Amino acid sequence: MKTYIISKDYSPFTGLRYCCKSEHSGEDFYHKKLNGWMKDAVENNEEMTIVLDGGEDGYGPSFLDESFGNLVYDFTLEVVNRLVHIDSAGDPEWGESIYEDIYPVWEENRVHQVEPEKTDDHKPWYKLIDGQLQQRVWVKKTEKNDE
Amino acid sequence: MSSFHWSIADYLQASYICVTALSILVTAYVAVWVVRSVQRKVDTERTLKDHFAHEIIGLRKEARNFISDVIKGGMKAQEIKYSHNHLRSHITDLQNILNQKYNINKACLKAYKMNLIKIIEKDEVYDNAFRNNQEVTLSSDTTTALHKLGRENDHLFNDVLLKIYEQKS
Repeated sequence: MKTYIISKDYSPFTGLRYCCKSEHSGEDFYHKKLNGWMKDAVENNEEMTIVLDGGEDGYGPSFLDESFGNLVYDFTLEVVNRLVHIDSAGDPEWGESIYEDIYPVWEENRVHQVEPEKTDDHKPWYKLIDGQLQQRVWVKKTEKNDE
Repeated sequence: MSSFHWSIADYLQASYICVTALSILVTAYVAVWVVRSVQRKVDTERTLKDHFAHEIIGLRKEARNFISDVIKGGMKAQEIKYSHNHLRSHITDLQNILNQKYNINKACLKAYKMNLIKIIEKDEVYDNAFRNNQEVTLSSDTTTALHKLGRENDHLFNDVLLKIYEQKS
């Protein structure tokens, strides 16, 4: 099982939801790190643990929503639940919020194809389509967020 | 000149008196030791409860001040996040120890950990000020929501205090 620590493998400081609003946003974290980690997990059918503890200034709820929500949107709740473990021992409510609030809403969005907003041009990213990993730019940058 | 001779009965009587006196002394000593030990335990428990009460009152003050400062305006966006995380850490620490010691629900102050920052993050002024860490004056809708959160949840601190003091030592 692989273990990733957000504060070390991404950044000790995290921002808000969208790239257009802050550095180290949830959107940025998803596209720069989490999507790739998940692709490896799916490819190798290997579980992974994401450690939330250790950050310098905690997490905004919107950061977690955008990053872990997109994970469910692109890889399905079933696969995410099977392969991803959240370690937030220092503050269990972060983990509870991801499992109980974020995952169900984004699975709903996935089922009803409610596309997430993108506020930056991202490199092609992975998504699970009929059980197969596919890579491309699935959603273009939303023009209204061009600030 | 008369001489004083103890008979066997006198020796037995004296021994009996000594043993009785010794027994009274030992019993008294044990009684005092038990009372002091119990008192010490009661005092320790009481001191501990008073300590946690002091912590909770401090936390309530910190939460009230945070809400008041954010509503007043003038804090920088990233400072708001940092201060809230500070408050959040204090709440988490206290919730954990109160759960271990008094079995008080770990999520007893959840409103101040999650809902508070969710309300702030929904405000566009905060959202737009974050990147350049500008000063924030939140919208009236947000300040109303924050007032409401404070009003509806302030009692939680007293609820925790009551639960602590209701616990038997």
